Amino acid sequence: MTEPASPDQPHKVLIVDDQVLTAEHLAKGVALRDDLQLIGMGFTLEEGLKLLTEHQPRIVLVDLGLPDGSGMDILRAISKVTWPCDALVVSVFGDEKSLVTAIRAGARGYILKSSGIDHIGQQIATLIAGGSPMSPVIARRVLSLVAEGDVAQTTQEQTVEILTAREHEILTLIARGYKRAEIASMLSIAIGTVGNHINNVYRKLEVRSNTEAVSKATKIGVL
Amino acid sequence: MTGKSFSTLGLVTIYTVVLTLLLLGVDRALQGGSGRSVQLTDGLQCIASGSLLPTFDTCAEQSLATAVALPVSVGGVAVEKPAYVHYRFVADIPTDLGGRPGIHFSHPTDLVRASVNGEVLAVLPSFSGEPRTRWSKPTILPWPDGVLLPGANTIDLVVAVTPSADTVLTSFSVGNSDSLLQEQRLRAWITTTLSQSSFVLMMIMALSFAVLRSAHGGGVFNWLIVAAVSGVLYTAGFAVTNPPLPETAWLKVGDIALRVYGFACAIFFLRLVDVRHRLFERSYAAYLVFSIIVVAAASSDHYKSLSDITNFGLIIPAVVFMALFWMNRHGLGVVSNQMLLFVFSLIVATGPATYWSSGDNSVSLLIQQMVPMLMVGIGFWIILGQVVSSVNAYKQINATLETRIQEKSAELSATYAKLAETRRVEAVSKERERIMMDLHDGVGGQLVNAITYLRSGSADHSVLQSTLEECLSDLSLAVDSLAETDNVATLLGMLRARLEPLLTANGLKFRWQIDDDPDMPDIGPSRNINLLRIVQEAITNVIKHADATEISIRADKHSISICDNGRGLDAARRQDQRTGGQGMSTMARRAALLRAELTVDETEQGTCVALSWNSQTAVQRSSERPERASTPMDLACSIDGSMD
Repeated sequence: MTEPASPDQPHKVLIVDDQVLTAEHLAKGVALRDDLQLIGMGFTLEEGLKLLTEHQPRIVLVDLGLPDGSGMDILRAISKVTWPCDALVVSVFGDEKSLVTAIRAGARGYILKSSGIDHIGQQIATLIAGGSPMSPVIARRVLSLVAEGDVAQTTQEQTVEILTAREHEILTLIARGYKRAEIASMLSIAIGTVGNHINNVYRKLEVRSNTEAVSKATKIGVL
Repeated sequence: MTGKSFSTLGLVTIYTVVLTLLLLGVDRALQGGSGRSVQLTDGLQCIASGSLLPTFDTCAEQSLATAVALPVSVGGVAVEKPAYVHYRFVADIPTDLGGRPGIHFSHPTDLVRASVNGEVLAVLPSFSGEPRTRWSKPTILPWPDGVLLPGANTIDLVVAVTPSADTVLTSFSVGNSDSLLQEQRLRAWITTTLSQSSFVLMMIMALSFAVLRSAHGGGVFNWLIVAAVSGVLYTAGFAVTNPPLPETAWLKVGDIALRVYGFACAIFFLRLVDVRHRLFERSYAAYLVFSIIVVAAASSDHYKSLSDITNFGLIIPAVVFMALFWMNRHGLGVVSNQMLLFVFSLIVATGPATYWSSGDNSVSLLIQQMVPMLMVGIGFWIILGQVVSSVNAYKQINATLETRIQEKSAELSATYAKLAETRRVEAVSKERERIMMDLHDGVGGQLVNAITYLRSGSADHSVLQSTLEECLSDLSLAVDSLAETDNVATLLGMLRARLEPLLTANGLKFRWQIDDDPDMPDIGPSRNINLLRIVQEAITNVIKHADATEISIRADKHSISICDNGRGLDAARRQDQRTGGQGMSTMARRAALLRAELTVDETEQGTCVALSWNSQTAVQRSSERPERASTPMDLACSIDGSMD
């Protein structure tokens, strides 16, 4: 899904957030970078969906709480678009329960509202380069999901694709607070490889059909 | 008495009258069918001659009618003293009877001697001494060969007569001995076997009731015993062939026993349906005593009539008893009630029916003989019914009990659930309180500071920013402590992620080494927040005062340590003293709440703040020295001491 950035063409970024100050803060972070181009800011779900189809952005920053609906609907729309498009959820603390649901609906990670503007641009660039962010709490929750999935598999209702031993190892380290670079050195692998594993985890978490996602998320208690 | 009582009384009376008439009708019908095979040609004669007979002094009073239908009755009053009466019949008896001829007396009540054509067939044992009437067995007497003559045959019968009672000569049958035997056996069974069985049964009942009474005490058993004993005496009159008492006395015993029996039964059945009608019972008892005295005192001459008159008088209490029983019958089953009323009425009806029925071949008499046995049968039926109903009641009680147990269990588990919920709510509320306190102290205070700075305009942009950043950091800490996970390593990881930008900004590096998931006791948000605050405070101290370049965080199952390569915590302590801050003592207080040990180790290479716990020793220590655990300031002092 993630494609290497074209060197001559900046990546189009859409921001959907009902809080104007936050949206502007995020916009400043985007504007700092040459390889990113803000194509618009939506303050409602309706505006967000309109801008999404009009401009076909590469990156969408989505706030889950919108006045006229849930940012989850944008994630669902993104998972159906034909062009390469990744979504980052805008989060205050990065540990909300809804984040896992968002990831399962197709979000590639989250971005903290409190992050400095340079950090925002950095996070987007990392994502495009193939590194989805993952907090220890989310890693812990994914691990517990997999455990539940193992149980569910016996009842022919696989909730989460089984993780490889390496993915499991990496998730455990993230859950213990280790950074990507530390994990790479501990496991004697490249940082990019760690990123790839994390991306794989994201991919495995994602549920293709949106209704399926919601129903499964409900079943496993995420929603 | 109410209208209902009257109508019940009326109904019971009508019922009894109808039964009496029915019994009389049956008796009449049965009488009509007797005397089958003998054609009496010369009718009945009373003769007063014959050397075998001791006395024949009553013959003069007997009619010499030429054609008298059996049965005939010699009134008790007709003779002044016990005597014998000799009857002679001349009968045409066919010679071809298809077997040995015989004569069958189905009710030879008072027969003592029989002969045919002068040949004596039998002399019964009582044909000697004082003539007496007696209940004897149905008798079949076979004729010797050659006795039967072609054409007319003379049959002589001698019966005993006493002044006290009627002497009855019932019809008799002449015919083939073999076929007569069948009838005789049936008769014998009804009159002898049944009455004897009844007698024996009553004795058994009397004994059983006596045993039950000794086991369960008096009450209704007293009345049952009285009924059974009087029943024994009454049935003895039918069952005993050789009475131990003189004729009239023996009759009086049976008579009085029957009266007492009736009274005892009436009281017993009234008790059974829980009725105590004093007026009725006293009146009945008074009349009973009166009638017993009258009967007992009656002379042989007047006994029969006095007994009949007082017996008629008993019909009144009998009917009242039935009415009382019927009005209060609800204690028993429907079938039992109806059966009992029928039997009571039938028994009462046999009194007048016997009186008016001519002859002793009477169904009423038979029923009277069977009364005690009938009552025992009914008693058995009632007891059986009550056993069945008590078994049903037991089952029902069991079912009800089970339902109630289930209900109670449900109630109990609901109560438990409620209790658990209450405890849970309480725990949640305590947790909430702690976290609220934390937010008040941390975020609240910082926000107030920020607002104060803004109002006074005394602080520049960077001060405000750092205040608000601290505020957000505090809030993040609270949020992390409330996270779904209670994994200490993950909580530390979250803290790291939040502090990383601050460390980077201060030129510090994290050295992260979580070998194992720390296994701390007392999971929950308040533990989390205390733990995170200790680690955060330790890291903040390093950032602010230690002048270090690296912070290493290590954790294993039983400890967490925060070490730096700086110049120690003196600056932090000085800061505390200067500002009145309680950074260090607060850390110690929080450690105490975690039941963990906080140690500060300062060396030339740097400072190590370590939190260690052992769930076992932590618990023991807290129970041995509760005063130390409950006063965090003491702990803080000891830590301060150790740092000096």
